[in-house]
Amino acid sequence: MQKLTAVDWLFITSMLSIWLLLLFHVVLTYAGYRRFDKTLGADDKHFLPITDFPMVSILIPAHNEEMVVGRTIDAMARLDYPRDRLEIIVINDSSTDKTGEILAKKQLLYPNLKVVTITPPLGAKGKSNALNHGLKESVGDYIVVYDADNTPERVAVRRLVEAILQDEKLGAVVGKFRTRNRDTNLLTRFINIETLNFQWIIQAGRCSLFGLTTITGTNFIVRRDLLEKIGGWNVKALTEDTELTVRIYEYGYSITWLPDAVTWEQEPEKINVWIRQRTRWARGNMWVISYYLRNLLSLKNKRISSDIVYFFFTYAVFFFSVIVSDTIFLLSITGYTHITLFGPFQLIWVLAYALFIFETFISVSFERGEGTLSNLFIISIMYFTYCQMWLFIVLLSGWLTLKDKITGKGFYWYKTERSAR
Amino acid sequence: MTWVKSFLAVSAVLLLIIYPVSARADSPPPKRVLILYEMETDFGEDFPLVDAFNEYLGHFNLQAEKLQRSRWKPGDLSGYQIIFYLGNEKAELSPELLKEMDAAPELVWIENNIAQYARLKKWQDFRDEGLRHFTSLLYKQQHIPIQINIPVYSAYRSSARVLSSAEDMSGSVPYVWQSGNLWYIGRVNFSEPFIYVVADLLHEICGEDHPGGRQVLVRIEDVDPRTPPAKLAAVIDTVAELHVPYAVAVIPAAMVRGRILTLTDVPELVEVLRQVENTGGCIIQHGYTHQNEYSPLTGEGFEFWNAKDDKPMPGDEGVFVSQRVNSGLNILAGAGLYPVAFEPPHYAMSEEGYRELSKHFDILLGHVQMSDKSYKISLSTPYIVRSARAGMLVYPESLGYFDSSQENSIEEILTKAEYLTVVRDSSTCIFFHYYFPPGELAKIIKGIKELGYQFIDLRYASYHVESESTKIISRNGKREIVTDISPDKTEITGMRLVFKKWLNSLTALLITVVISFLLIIWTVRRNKKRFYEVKENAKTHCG
Repeated sequence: MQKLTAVDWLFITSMLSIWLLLLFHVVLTYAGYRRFDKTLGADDKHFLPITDFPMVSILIPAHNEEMVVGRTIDAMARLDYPRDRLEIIVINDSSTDKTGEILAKKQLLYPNLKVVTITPPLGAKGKSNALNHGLKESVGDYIVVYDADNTPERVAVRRLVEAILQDEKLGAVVGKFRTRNRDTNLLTRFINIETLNFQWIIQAGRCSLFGLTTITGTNFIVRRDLLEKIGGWNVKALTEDTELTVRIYEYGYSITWLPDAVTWEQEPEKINVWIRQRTRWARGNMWVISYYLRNLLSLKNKRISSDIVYFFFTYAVFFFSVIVSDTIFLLSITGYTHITLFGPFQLIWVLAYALFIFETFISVSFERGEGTLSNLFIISIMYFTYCQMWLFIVLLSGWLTLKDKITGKGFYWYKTERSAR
Repeated sequence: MTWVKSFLAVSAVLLLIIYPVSARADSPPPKRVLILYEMETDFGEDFPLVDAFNEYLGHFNLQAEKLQRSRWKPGDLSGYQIIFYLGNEKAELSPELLKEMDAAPELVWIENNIAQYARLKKWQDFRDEGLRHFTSLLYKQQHIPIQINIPVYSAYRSSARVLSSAEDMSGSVPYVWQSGNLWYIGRVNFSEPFIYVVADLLHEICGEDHPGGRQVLVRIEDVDPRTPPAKLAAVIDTVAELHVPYAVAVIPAAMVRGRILTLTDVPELVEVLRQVENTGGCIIQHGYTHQNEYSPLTGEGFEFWNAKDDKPMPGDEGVFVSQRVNSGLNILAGAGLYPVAFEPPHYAMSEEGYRELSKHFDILLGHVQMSDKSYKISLSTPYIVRSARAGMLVYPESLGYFDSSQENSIEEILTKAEYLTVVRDSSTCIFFHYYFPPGELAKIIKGIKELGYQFIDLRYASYHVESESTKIISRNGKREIVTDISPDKTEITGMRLVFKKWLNSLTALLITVVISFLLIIWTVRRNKKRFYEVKENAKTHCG
């Protein structure tokens, strides 16, 4: 009888996809809260007392990290773990600054600090390559990875070891990372909130519901024998942590998230640094998704294959739906087009905004000192500012990937710039 | 002292910015003019000449008053920029009056008694030949035919500047001429096309040369709930294909066998009407049922006039009009249609009716009924006027309608349109009933286009429409609608209904979720001990 226009159909499908994802995140929020509730109860007594500490090798890839590496090494030295069962391996990958000097000085202080120096042609091939070299030189039964700017808490490694010993089906355990330079500027405030939101909702939620956790590049422990069996890190992957996650699940193991093992890291303070970092992540994840999406049916682990689908949905479907609905909105207020549909659109928009604010506020409220009024205010402006940048990042990443495919260029590593904080 | 300099500089810049804006914001004040007349109507007739003339003055930035000459007292004419003397009767004008008329900055003398003025001015070259019959008027090199029963005064000065002449077989005499502060018009008769000459010359007389541009409104007429949607769609498609804006006069309810059928009962027709705005069209509210108890057939009947006895509707007309307007507008709003202007059925409305209508609409289409004595006493102007009678802005209609029973209907329409080109900023309207073949309308539109007419898009007019439930305001093409009536009062079926229901469920779900989130936040914050915290002092990590 009454025909719907093409714009109507575009609007309906974009609304459906957007809300599908948003409601899924609501479910993850409930699951994240459940996880918070359950794990908070655990204190030192609930952890298994370790009588036989396994040998652990900490791998820290470093390229031109003179600003932060000294302090990082000091933090590693302070870890509450038997010194003779712990080796700290820093892979000095083609540094041209004072990194080598600083490391040499630290070696005089700390006998269990090993420095593996690689230079081209062996070096300068990215983080995966550096880690593989570190792995070769290591003796530990368990490998823990830290970024060069991280300062883990004293019990962090101990907690990771305790967790992975509890369950032999665990291939890896991922800890929590916090923002050390949270108060520097508005950008770092945004990032601080975003990292808490990601970990307490996406990580904790998926972990609680599906047993799915993604390795986030730092503060994680992984079984050495597993690593060797699956061939170490993939030097072709821009985001080597996501890629490793897939292979661990494929091999039959699982990964869990442990909020008790905490590390503090430095986040980008300048917008251009942030853009480079996020573009690398987006491109890397897109690569992982497209690689595994093609072979989706060949993946044995149904959980990880559905996780791939979830990521694909986010980057592709959700992204395009947001672009489409934003475009329809802009065109309709300028009068170029209109939808002939009826519904409480304004109310839904208000509710979506409220949903975002309260969902995000829940995730920050789990951490002491973060459930503040000022964070609430920052969350309410994030919606229109920081969150919209995601669209730009995905567009830029898509464009760069396409460009490289056409020109046949490979990727190359961007290392995130550090500051002294 | 540099801060003083910078302060002065900043204030100078601010003044430069603010001053031109505020200067531009003031428009020139209206000119005060007076219509000094012998009689309101011609002897023995009902047509209100003075009021009709006043309507024409509504095209200009004037503040007009009227005064019957027999009531004049010395000093009454002071303070007016223009005195229009409507001498539609022979009379003796006193020397004081003549002197006071002469003292006016501008004096426009129409028809009788000019000889007395000529004597006062001691014009040597003045000739008065009295009433004569002519065959045409010559104006701007165009010959406009005169109907035989409009005699014209032949009185002129040979030294005058002639703007228009009256012609017959033997020659021509000045019809409108100017000498000093005097304009003379040999005859004002409101039939068309005769009046076009005076209508255009009023621009010179009132000192307002409006930029030229003739325009026409295409109006698709008498759409009511019984209209077959396909037929209407065919006409709309034809107009849209010609890329011409148009208007659709919609009657929101029809009286069918004692029952009222409204637009909400015919969603297919509403669907077509909703596309009007997307294809360059706008909606006109054409009454409520286009009928009343005295003339009960919708589409044919009068609504705001007792056509049986040719008099105003009984009882409180204000209440009657507002009820009808509100009912009609509610139905339109319920169908998601928002009218721009109002067109009373048969253009018939009383003075009191207009007063009430002007509270709801800014724009009136068509003719203005000039007298409560009969609906036949109406006026159509060749351009847009702010009507003193109706209290609204009137977009006039003077090209009539397409009549299939008349063989040369289209030629007649185009001929009228051609005569109208004499008026520099003419505005008119052609209305076309939806049940005629759309091809005929296409022919009319093409013909009018060739005459250099632009087509009126009422969506870009500034207006406001108000009823008890709905308010529509449009400024500079941007429209704002505030209504208590949501368009879904009409039947929404199929996918739209499904989608709407889904959105309602989503809303309910979201409200529940948001409340649950607030509960979680409250629960978490309530227990101040149960947070994740740094077991060691964070400061030690910042080295």
